[in-house]
Amino acid sequence: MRDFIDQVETELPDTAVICDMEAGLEHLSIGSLRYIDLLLVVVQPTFKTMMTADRAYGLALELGIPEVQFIANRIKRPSDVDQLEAFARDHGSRIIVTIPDDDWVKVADARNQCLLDVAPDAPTVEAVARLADELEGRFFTAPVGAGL
Amino acid sequence: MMPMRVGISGKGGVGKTTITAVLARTLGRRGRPVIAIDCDSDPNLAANVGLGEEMAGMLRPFLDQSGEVRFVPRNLSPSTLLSQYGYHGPDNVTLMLAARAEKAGSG
Repeated sequence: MRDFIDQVETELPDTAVICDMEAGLEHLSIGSLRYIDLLLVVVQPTFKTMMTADRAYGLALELGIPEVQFIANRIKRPSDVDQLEAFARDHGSRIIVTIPDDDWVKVADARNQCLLDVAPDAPTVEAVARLADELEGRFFTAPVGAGL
Repeated sequence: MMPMRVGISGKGGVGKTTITAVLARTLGRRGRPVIAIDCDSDPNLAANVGLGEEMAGMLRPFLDQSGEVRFVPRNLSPSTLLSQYGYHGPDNVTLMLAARAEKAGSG
């Protein structure tokens, strides 16, 4: 049976598919959601998240995912960025977007609502808008309403 | 034209669900149809996308335990799967749940 994501490409070509995956990439290992083009691994300037990211990177390579890049999250100071950029370089890759430490995330979590609805001007929202620009530019040659 | 098929991963608590949700909604409100798939065994994406707690509690996974699409006939089209298992959220985002929640009392 063809993978669901692969079939979406054929039948619904303008649709973006985004998967919230576990670090162990279980669904990719099983093969049920195999055809992702880009894996974005989120890291914070902490040892534990970097270790997990390193493992996810290795797994992604084994599974044949074409590309892995990193999202730097909860950045508080320039040295955080330096540390994570070095980490990305060590993996032959880059940081695709840097997201600052953002108290609004906790507020949205506490209300169990989308951050966009709770705080549309939150730093995370602004950073993710830049990520969306980057991804639209890369994947779709005719970006839909890329608001500039 | 390349389709956008992106996975977001990382250690639990690192922020991937928040980022996935905001990214899905952001692309969606620019006019891009988005399918957001929650592959986490402790799924939280529905609420983060803004689906509302009642709907979030009703989600059914479209994959079975072995990871296969969960019913016969297996060759259902994506549109059919989406209409049966997709949950419509705000801003052009359709949410699908891949994994069965494994923890008792989650959600």
